[in-house]
Amino acid sequence: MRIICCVKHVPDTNAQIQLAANKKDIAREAISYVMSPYDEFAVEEALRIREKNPGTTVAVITLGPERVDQVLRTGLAMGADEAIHILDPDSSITDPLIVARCLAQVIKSGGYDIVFCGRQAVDNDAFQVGSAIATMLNVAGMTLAGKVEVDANAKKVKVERIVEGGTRQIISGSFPVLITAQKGLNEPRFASLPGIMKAKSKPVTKKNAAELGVDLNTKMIIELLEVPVYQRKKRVIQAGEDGKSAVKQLIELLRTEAKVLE
Amino acid sequence: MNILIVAEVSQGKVKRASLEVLTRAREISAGGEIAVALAGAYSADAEKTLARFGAGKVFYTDHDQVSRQNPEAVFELAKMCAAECKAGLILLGASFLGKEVAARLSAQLGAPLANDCIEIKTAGNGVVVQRPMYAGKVIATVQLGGAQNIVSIRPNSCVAKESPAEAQAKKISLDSVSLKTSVESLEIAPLKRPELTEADIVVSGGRGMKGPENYNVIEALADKLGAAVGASRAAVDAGWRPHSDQVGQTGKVVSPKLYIACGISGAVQHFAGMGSSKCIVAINKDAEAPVFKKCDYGIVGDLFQIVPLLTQELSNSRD
Repeated sequence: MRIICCVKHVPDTNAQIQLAANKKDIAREAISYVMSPYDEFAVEEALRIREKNPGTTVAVITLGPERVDQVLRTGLAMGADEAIHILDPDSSITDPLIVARCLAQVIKSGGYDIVFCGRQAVDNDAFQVGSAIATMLNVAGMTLAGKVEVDANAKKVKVERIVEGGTRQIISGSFPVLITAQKGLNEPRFASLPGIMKAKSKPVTKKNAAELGVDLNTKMIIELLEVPVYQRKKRVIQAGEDGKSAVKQLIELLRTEAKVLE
Repeated sequence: MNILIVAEVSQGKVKRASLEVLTRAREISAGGEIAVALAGAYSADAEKTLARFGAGKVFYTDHDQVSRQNPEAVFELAKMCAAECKAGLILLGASFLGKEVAARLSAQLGAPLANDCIEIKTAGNGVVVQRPMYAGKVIATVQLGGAQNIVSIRPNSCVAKESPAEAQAKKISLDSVSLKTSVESLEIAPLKRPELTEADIVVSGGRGMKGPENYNVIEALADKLGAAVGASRAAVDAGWRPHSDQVGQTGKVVSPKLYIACGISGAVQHFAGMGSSKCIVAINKDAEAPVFKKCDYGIVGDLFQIVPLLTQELSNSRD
């Protein structure tokens, strides 16, 4: 089997976000980046499928400037065999539709049986690229996988997913498939020190986004970014001995001041 | 501008979030036609509800995969409806289904998409939307200028209002479509409580809950208030609660009227998921917890004492 995982280099979820001077991007200096957490589940699942199916190869692919080479190294250190970097030297591609177009174009010629993505990247939260690639490649797209069963002989995949309200769906499809990973799919491994050393010598293919032959024109323009400020009352009450008067006071405030309780 | 809405129907009822989307559509259609594609099995009740909220046309299908809410099947239905009603704008609720169908439509039509928007207005032939990024740490103003544009709208970001219209229903056949995926089974969990992302009140428990067996105090308060139950990442990572309960950057983003955080310290990634709530209450025994600097009301005390008292006091004062 041939598997490829789309991964993204995103600011750490614990990072405080500040804006760049032009207010069209975030301030990128002094940010520590990680692999988007949902992509870690995707890579882990691909590696587990390889362990069960000898002869399988796992590739990782990303799009972005030179810096995002790091996220490919993370994927290789976790155990992926090879990597593809679609270079966007000045980070000009911000529209997820265009990102999906570039990724789909490269993935199309790779003869992959399974494409994995995270359910969304936790920077722009578009929830778009995985399903867009599935549609562009005209393959079976299955999102939010909480469990994946692969039958390599029958070339079939079954995905279990849970959506709003605890509704459970079992979705099936035949190779090639695209699966997006939900939290809970697995426990991603950490890259080991030997893994990190080996990653340095694994192949990374570089391609330029501008040379893929896809339409890079976007009809989506980010006009302005703002950091929302929520005014909070910060009225903190001590529970005291038995807590009763504090609780009464809180209920009163919620009813008469905040008006959020009847 | 003609607008197509993808409205979700489950067990014969239209989801509230879809009625909110319909309300938004009326505000910006400027006399254009408002058509609805039913994502789910047709019901006469659903059709009536949609008409009451201003739908001029209701497209539906009896295809089994649409009733099972297969996103690919709903996408195929929406694609046909968008062509039939010449939609300049496609609006969806930002549920998992809505966001996936939106992404597929965007890829198919080459139309720009903004998922999970909290504001939308028209600008020339396009639309300008506001959407959270970085789980709400940033709000982006985004312009979509395609010949067709696609927007999904976050639940709870407006109030659904009625505006009765005469709806014309039309059945669409998907027989010519061959699907690549099949929803083999669909189990709808019995709804004990409101869905997290749509609830008016959310009660959440974090690391301070000390174990899964203690969530009954949270659930009792939630049931008293008709609230949903949430959890912090710490509680989910410890295996105390399912991931579907997680509020935060790698969980759900909620924006209720009232959010009650119990035994939650107030990490950045948690606030990313609930920081836009109208009113935030914190209950924590650590007076130094960051949550007290970011809440409206707080009680410094043992949640195992305070939360049951709160439940009890609410019962007393209502009777």
